[in-house]
Amino acid sequence: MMTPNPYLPIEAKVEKLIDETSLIKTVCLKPVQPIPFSTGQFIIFNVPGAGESAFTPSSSPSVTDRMEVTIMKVGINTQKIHDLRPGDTVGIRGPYGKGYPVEKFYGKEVLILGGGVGMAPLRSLLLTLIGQINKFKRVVLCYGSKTPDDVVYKYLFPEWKKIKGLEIFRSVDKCPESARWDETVGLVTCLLDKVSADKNNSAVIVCGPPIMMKFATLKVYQQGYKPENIYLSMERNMSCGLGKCGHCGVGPHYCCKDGPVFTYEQLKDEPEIWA
Amino acid sequence: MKPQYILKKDINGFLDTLSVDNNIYCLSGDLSYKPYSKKEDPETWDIGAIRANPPLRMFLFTHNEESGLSEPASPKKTNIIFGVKSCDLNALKILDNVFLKGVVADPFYERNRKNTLLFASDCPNPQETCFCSFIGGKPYPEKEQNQDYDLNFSSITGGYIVETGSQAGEDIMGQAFAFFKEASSEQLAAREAMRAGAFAKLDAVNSSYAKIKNADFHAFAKTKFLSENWKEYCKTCVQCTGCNNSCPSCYCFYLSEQSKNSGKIFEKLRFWDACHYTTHGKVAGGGNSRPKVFERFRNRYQCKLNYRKENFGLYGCTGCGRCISVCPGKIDIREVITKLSAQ
Repeated sequence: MMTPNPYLPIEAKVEKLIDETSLIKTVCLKPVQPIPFSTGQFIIFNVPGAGESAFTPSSSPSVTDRMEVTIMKVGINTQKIHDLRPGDTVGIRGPYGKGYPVEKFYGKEVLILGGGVGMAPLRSLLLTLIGQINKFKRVVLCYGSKTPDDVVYKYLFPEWKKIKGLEIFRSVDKCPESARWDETVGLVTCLLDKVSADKNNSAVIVCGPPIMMKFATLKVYQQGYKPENIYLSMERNMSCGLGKCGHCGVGPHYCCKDGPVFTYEQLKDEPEIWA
Repeated sequence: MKPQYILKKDINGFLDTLSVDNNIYCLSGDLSYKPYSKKEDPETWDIGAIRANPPLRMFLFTHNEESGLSEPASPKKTNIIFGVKSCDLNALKILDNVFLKGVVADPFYERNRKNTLLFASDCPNPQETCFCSFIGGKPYPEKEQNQDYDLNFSSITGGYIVETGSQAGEDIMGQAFAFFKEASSEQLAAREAMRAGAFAKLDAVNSSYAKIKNADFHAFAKTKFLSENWKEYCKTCVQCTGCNNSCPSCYCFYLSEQSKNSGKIFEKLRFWDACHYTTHGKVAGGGNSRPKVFERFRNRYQCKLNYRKENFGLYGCTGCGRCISVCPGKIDIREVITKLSAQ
């Protein structure tokens, strides 16, 4: 019996595209068969004839017949994705890798640090946590963007702010005079100073651009959060998704099968892990 | 089955009995370039030579391979590769770990692997670039090294001693028994002398690297990761990826979309990739985990000596010396390791 071809995508129809910012869109997909995933796992998004890229779904894993993926335009394939129209057919492979171990967060203070489009996987996590918010001592989201215009899911924050047990702090790196922003101005790491958490009973989740990941992780580590309780969504160039193609090495680990969610404990002794 | 003996003049007749149902590729050519050639021209065969220039994986995991089919098509004939060396069988262990184990087996590799018979051969005359015995290998295959082969041919005066390594090998020998007789103790002694000669030759050509013979390469690579000297070692590297492409244990590939069949939307190709390419570690938005030459150069050494050793308990380097002979920058992995160890 031959192993079925794991590189074959499942067809999915594009239902809707939502403009989040000038560079970021959320693609709403209806796959021909449900694609169950756990939050933090990633999929390979296939644009027929163009290429494939890895993304973490931004929708709730409790919805399996539809999937939303929030994508920033940074290259050829993501440009093609932004050019998609409702009714177009694409492909989805996966889900792959290890997601967030949500059960381990039960009874803890959950501190989420997000930067830029790194909010996309975190939305999926946040929706998962919101669905069982009473199981956590508290959930704190610290989210940083470049400018007020670059904030994704602007329309969701008013609702999220009403949720009991969820605290939200937001920052922008800078605020142009023309824009309105009455929250913090500064790097996302400065929001950490506003949060006082029980460091022995916390889970910290970090997701964002590599430079933000690096400094945010080092800061929480220095603040005394335990490395085994710091969860990182690592970014690498995942091609196959199955630990075979060799692209997504993080030291001896492969991001696609051993991650993309790693604890800092797993990685802290590996030199030069930040892309 | 006890070791058998076949006369040199009978080998062609033996292979003829197999050529009806199998494609036979044989180690051939001269010292400057040794491909695996189709059996048709026995004059060019040379299974006593060192490893072929192209790596064995070309038969198992082909460059430019269609992986978009729902099920890999079954090929009509089995490939017999004649003249596979011990260094390549050791590299096969890495490939098997990657492609047959893990999250899921790769069906394309799995098919090709099942569809290939490996006729190994001793390496009696190692060349300047060979150093298998310095990194845990031997210049001949044997089951004790957990190597996977069907038959092994050891060249002695007038003929070959043949040993089976698998049931398929036993079956082939059983059917072609007329060509073989049990090897005598004199013949087995001749093989031992030949093998001792190969070890001696390896020691002689590697006399300047005596210090690193079967040293702890893993520790050298791991503990010297942050050394500034990598920049020095890679000074003449031009990122041609020759070392990657000729390496028997390199397995990186890239999946790409086929655009010519616009009707078939999920047509996919895969290509051999190489960690010396700038694009290998590139991520969205311009990030790159290995943007500099020395980082990519170092990554190759870490992959071979550190990471795969940690994953599989095996070195990704088997001492075949292809990367040494192919390098236009005259970079020699033995020298790099010697310098690392001296730091």
